[in-house]
Amino acid sequence: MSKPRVLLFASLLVLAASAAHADRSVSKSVAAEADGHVSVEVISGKVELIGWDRDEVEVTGSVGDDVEELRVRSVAGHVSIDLEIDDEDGRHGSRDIDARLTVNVPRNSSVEIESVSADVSVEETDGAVSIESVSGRVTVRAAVREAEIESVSGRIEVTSASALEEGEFETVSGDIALDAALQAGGSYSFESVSGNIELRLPRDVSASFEVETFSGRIVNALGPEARRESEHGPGMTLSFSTGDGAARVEIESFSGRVELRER
Amino acid sequence: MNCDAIETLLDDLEGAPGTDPRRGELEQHLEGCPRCRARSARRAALAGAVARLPREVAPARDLWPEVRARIEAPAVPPARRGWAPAAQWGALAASLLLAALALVVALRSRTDPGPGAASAAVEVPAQASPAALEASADPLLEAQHNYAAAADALLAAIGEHRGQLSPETIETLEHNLALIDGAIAEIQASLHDAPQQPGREKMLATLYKKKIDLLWRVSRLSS
Repeated sequence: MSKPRVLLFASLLVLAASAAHADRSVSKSVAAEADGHVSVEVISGKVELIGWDRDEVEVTGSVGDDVEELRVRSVAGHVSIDLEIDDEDGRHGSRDIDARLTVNVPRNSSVEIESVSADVSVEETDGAVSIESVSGRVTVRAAVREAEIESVSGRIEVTSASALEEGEFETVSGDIALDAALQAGGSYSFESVSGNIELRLPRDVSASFEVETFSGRIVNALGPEARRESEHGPGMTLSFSTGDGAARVEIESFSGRVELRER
Repeated sequence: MNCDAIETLLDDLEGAPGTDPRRGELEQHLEGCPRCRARSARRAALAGAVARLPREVAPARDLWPEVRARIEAPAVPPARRGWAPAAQWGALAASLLLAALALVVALRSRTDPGPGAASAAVEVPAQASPAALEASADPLLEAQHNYAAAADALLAAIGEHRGQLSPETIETLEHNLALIDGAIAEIQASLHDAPQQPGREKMLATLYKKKIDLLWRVSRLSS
């Protein structure tokens, strides 16, 4: 077979393979309560959750070939969104189960999202968010009241124009970045093994801080310098308060860098 | 709703109010599915046993030095025993460990009083397992054993369904487990050199918990 023919044959094979795994469009919506609960479960792909001013949950986007059905169910204030996977041979790992979804929810909904490798973003919601991911990136740009976010290796990034009332952030190797005001009386915890943790807080933040690392560096632009924990290792600790110390911030990292910055 | 979804729903409804509207959906499925009915009954029996346990265990003496000695000891490698345990038993093992760790941390606070230090009575989480309470005469000494057992059960559950995880997820799991194990080993070595480091003991407990959290999460995904 001549070289051009081989190339043509290879191109046709690629096209055929693409056609066999073509994503298909999905669109579903259900009525929802203004301050209800919305849960989303996806494995891979991307989820963009956006608050809006309608009492309705709408899901649009595309799903992979091995997704049998996008399920959007509403039971008494709880809307759950997940995927039914074609699991005939029980091998999810090699299947095309990507979902690229845009989920519009009532602005005051409390939101719960679970994913494996999907990137997750949340925008324009005011309620509580709870997100669990393995390797996907998690981005929250919203005035959420409470945030509880866990990721293994994905980066967690939270930016809020208003005060966060409570926050809990955990990773193993993913970085954590928070840019928000803190609420008096609120408690905030940050944990990572090797990920960097960066907090950007208002200059007049009122909080008590407890920071500890095993070998990670601590950079503090809000108060005193960190000190070595002991003569037996490179670990650092930092304990200080600003203002009335009204909020409580605890940060623990094994080897990741911790930075406290002004917004 | 299929049986996999029911498994998830059973997880979700654990601790949820009796009025949760999804209970109706669950009951409807259970009526027609003997397998899920049996699974639900097993979980209910376990939950009942746990609910009957006392909520507080007062330590009879200061156990922390012995606990610290155990933590400094090299981690016990999980015994290889096939891929039999199912995810729910991994969950039981995990709750067992978390109960033990809660006790470790609480007792550490007790011996190192600071703001918000624990009272003399150590609270046991509501989800503490029967085994943890059986060991309550000397519960903290079981921490390392519980940790190894929980990790073992969860690894077994993951191994059983490994084919359902993508290669990328398996790689992420293995890479991050190695990170945590490396961190645990470094802290253990540090504590061996200089035992009196309460901050590092707390960090060690956090790392144990993080490892179990990671295994538990991936075991749920794979099942």
